[in-house]
Amino acid sequence: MAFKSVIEKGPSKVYIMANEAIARAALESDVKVYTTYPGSPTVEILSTFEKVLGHLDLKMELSVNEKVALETAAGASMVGMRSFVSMKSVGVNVASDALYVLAYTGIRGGCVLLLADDPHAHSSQSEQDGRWFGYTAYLPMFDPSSPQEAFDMVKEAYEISERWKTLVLVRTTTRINHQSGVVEIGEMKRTPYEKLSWDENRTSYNAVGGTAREGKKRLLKKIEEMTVLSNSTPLNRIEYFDGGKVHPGEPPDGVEVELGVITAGVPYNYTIEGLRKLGLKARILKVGMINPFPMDMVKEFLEPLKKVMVVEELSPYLENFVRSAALDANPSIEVMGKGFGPFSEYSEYNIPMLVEALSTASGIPMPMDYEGHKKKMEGLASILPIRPPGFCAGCPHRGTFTALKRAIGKTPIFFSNDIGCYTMLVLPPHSWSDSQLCMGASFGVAAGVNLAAREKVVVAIGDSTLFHAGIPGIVNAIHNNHDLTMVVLHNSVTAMTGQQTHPAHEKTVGGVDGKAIDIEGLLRALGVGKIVNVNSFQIRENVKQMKEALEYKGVSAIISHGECALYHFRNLRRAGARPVPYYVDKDMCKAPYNCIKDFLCPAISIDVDGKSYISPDVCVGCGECAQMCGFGAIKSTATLVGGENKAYYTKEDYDEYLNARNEHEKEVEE
Amino acid sequence: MKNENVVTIHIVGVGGQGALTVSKILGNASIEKGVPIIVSEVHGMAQRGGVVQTTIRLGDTISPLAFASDITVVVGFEPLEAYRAKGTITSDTMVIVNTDPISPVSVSSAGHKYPDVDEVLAELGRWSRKVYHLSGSEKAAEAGNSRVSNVVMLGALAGTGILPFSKEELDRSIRITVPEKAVKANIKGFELGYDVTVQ
Repeated sequence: MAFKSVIEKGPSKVYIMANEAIARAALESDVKVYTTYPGSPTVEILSTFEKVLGHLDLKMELSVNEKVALETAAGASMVGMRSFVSMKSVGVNVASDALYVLAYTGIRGGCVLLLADDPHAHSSQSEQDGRWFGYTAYLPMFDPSSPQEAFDMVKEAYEISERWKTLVLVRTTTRINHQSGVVEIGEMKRTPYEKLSWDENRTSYNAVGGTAREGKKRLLKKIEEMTVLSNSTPLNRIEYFDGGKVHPGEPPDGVEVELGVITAGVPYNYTIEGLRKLGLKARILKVGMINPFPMDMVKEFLEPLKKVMVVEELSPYLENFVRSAALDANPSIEVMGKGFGPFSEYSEYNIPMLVEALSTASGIPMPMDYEGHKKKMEGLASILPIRPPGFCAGCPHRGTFTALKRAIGKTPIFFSNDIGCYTMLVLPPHSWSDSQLCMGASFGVAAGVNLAAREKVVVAIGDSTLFHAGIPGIVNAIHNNHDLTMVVLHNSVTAMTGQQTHPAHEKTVGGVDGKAIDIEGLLRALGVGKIVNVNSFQIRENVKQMKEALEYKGVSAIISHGECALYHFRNLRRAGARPVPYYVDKDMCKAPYNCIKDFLCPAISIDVDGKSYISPDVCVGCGECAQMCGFGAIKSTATLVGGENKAYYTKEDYDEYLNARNEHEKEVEE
Repeated sequence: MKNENVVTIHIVGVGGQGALTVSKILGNASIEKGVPIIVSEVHGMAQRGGVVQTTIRLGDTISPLAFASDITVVVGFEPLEAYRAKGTITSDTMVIVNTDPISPVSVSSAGHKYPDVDEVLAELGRWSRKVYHLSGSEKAAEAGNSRVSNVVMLGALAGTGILPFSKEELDRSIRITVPEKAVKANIKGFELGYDVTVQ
């Protein structure tokens, strides 16, 4: 099992996911403090650390947001402890205020930030290119292309961090984070966690005016020194591909190689695969340390070449450096980068794109009619039913938004949405959201819409997102007399990323008691004029209460309480209980499909007889759908055996139900 | 040039079907035998019923993704998703399909039609080298645990003989990968799947 590999003594070869390898590297580096805010594709780093907590001596915090996570890691480092912080691409935007200044102040204990970009925006709001953070903040940055390199680079990052007293950035992409493979791990050598004395090691970590200017001078000197390292580190390396295999170093004497390729990250792997497909020879410069950029190495690489291909996803980061190096080293060289063949700044790269680009560059034909193949694929996609992600069976949001839509009725509104599972409302078949930018943006956008539009503004925000970045927007809306109704989706956890706890939860990470922050009390203290509390699953009762909040002039709140289904039913199962599913009484069903249209529960579909059908394997017995049926056709299967028509049973109740159900089934068979 | 030293398996399905466990079993078998392995997954919103794609490459390559004509076998954990993966299937590809449909909400709510499973199999047969099909849920029920249909599919994959591992090697890997209490059902499920495709 992968987790055993993360805590074993080592050294050994293990099969693990890159995210686990990254956690292992930080642990081998004797990291004492780990902080994060959950975000895909970094979540498995978090869950690995969470599992490690009971086994190894270290502190971990699920911070309220990425900025606090970075600042916490920095604080521990200022005292002298090694710290590690991970976040997704857009999380760095939140943390960047601290990031740019930390470069000036420097740190003491090794401090590494892992940031994970998401080309193709698989699970993000943008395709942001995080590589520019390294360059613009003057911080060293690594860009691994495999789980092994991710592991090696995190370890190397700690050496560099302490040698230059600098924060070090390791940048991954989704295709790295979620890649698994065989990784050679080192030996786990850890020292006990013991608090250090700040007083004995007092140093100034300040930056303003004159101290900032002094900091900038130190920073530029560090970058100059690290540029020497970048031009000599084996992480930036020249390779020769002979048409079938990679060899380290330059091609053998007498071998003519026309094509050069400069690449980094996972596009390096695609390059090798593409070259092999075509049997093409090439000199390759694989950049692993992308800031400071190894300019001298690149100039030397470019000198003997007629053309060079730059292979990188998103913006032309490497390409800008390469073009600038070419002006000095080889002005007549042809640079094939963005805009060459299929290469663009859009989305991810893949093997067909590489094969096509290399085929165009070399004149070797494509190995198959890929264009024809692609056309067939596109035609196919348009005729198949889509499978968008949606709310789970038993999700409280389904009840909340069904009641909310009824409460709003035909009144035109502006729906200002936020980041969480409810972001999926924008997807078909819901297609119900007017705006959604980034964590906490719903309130700021609502304020602007208030200034500009006549319509009522309704905000939806989850509990974790409210703490993360929602509070300043609420304060702003109240102070400036805005008119909006917020729906706070209080489902107890950060649901979308795997149900981590957050500040309103009574537990912190690792099951340790924490202080739960009362959202209602917070909103009241801020001055929200009208607050209604509803149970997410009581659709009919909620409509009236929601209307009251919607009619209030000023800032009002609907706090919808209902635990995340994945979290709730996992806990229930662990406690030995099982959900009791609902069923459709076919004699009573008149098939108006109110339980299907706009309700979209994965447990409910249309049966062969044209009536609704509830899959007992998927249904978790939340009972929301029963309230949608005007004919009373949806009932708990418990009612079949004389039980109550209620949502679920405890362990004892469930055993009783099960016995009765078995009896019932025997009777039916007889 | 086709890289004959690499076996590429493309698994397609829906979140929660257990493709991750299948790749872990292959990963542990690879470590034991010293076969290079790379697994790439896209599972952004998988837990919310979205599409999940896993590419497993066994052998001499460093690329997590493959060219369409280099995919040795497409394993559809769900028939509609197997059909959707048709773009990765060429006349050299083998296809193994679990015939248990999981209807997306767009079918029940937005008036889309779920394709006929027999037509899906026939169509895949026209495109590929060979199509095997089985009901993962039936075999899993026979194995005594409804959740092992993923390992049933692994068994069917192993039965075709294209993996660089023997039946015994995979049996050993299943035992060290799955939770102890689930070993019996997983082994049984694996064997039931194996028997469907073995010659």
